[in-house]
Amino acid sequence: MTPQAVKSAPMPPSPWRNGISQAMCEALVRILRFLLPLALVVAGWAMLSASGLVRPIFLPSPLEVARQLAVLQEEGEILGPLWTSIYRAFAGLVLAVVVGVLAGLAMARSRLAYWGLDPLVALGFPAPKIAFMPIFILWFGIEDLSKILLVAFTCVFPLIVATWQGAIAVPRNFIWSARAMGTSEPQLLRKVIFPGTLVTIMSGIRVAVPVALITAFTAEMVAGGGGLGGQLMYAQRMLQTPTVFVYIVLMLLTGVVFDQVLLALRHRLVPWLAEDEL
Amino acid sequence: MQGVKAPLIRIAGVSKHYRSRGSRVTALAQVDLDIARGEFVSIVGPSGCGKSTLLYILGGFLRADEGAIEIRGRGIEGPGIDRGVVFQEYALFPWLTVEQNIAYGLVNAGMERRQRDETVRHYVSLIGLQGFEQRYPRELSGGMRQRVAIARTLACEPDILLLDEPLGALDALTRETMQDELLRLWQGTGKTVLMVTHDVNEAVFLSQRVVVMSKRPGRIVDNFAIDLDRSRPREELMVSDAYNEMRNRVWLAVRREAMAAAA
Ligand SMILES: Nc1ncnc2c1ncn2[C@@H]1O[C@H](COP(=O)(O)OP(=O)(O)OP(=O)(O)O)[C@@H](O)[C@H]1O
Ligand SMILES: [Mg+2]
Repeated sequence: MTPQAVKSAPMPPSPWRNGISQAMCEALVRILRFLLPLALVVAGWAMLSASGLVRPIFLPSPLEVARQLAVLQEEGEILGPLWTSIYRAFAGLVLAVVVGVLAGLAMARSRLAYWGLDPLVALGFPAPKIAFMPIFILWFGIEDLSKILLVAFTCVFPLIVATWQGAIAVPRNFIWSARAMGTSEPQLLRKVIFPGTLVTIMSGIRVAVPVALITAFTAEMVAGGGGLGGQLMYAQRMLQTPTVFVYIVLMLLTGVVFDQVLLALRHRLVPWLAEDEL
Repeated sequence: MQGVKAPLIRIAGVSKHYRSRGSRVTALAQVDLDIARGEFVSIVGPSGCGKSTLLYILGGFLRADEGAIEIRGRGIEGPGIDRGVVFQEYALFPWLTVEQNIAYGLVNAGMERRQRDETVRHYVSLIGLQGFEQRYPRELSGGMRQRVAIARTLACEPDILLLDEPLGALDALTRETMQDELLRLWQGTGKTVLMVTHDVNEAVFLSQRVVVMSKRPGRIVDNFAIDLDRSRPREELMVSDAYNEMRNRVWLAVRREAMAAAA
């Protein structure tokens, strides 16, 4: 009946007496398992360029790309643009989360908010956001603000819909029992509806993260103004294929890192969920 | 048995219809029931006859379509902390631990930290879940969740307890223990209890009155006053002739309604 009894259940003898080493070992295995297919792709790429079938101007070898990365790093062309892009994607995402969650909750709890916002969501969700880029540049300039706002504009819709769906699916029993235990109507949102929606909000954020990155990079490619996307287009114009590949690889890695950070955070933010429910 | 003074809860001619997808389901039809202050009343009846619906109306979550309901002589405005509800599906908050679930109402009531911890400890031990305070509901068995739901409601100390099959998920032995706790609590505090159950023995063992409902649309078809000496220990009470005769009468009435529902 007690957790002690559960813990003291006989365990198979393990060379790892100490829990931290075991956890590290498991993490290492996970990372290796994740990297193996990627390594195979890179190996295939290396073989293809080594075979001489493709000219380096079309497909530089991985080694060449790595060398170019080092050169660009020397010249200060890596970290600056990387931070610029990450900052734009992240700021836009945060803005979208705040606005999207508030709007989604409002739509779920207030008929007026639903009437007001539902047509806007229907109109805005399928709109090709990049089409607004010229207007945003006109209004907010070529630098960060126009890109941040475009990212927010793109990400806010999936977040509104996820939040709204989560909030209307909160079981009425939760609301009723909260009310019977002295929760006032205004408190309900903070104490029951929001926590009851958090899991769906997290799923919405997970969908929005790659969208934010894609939007930031695309906006930079279309409109310039620095960042990885701007650098990539510039290198393309100069026919510096290795540099183009460096920036592509960086974009891919950024996406993976964002997603992994989010997964780690999810565990913190919704600790009541089982590992496999995330 | 129904005292001369005005009843605490008065249900008069209450009907409730559900509308869903164009059709109309009558869940309750002309229910009359008076419950005196401090009384322990059980409701038994076939599945789907409207027992939960009646509890939800008393809880202030749903409105009756016809009839009148009064508590302490006043109509029901909405949910209130004077009425504690244990839901059939427990309705524990999955984002709160066992401890936090039990403390939920206490936090709302603004209870000071030390007293709150003590109260939580008391109820955790009452339901025998020491060592599980930090677990989330997902990590508990159905029976354990149900006990947390009971503890959470009791901790709020409502005057009126509305219990929807509060012990339904428990094994026979834990169930008897919880019945004894419930009985002791009721005897010790004078709370008014309205409990839905499917277990005739439980109803007769615990209640002063057992109300039998018909199949849907639910009406009250029988009303048994149970006059047993509950100061006697369970072993003695449950083998006594008085108890068994009462149990059999209720059982026959329930069976009749269940057969009618199946027909
Ligand atoms: N939200 C709803 N919409 C439509 N019909 C409903 C709804 N809730 C309940 N009903 C109907 O009302 C009737 C009574 O439901 P209720 O839950 O009160 O029954 P019950 O007596 O508690 O049953 P059980 O013993 O199985 O818990 C049922 O026939 C059910 O189909
Ligand atoms: Mg029910």
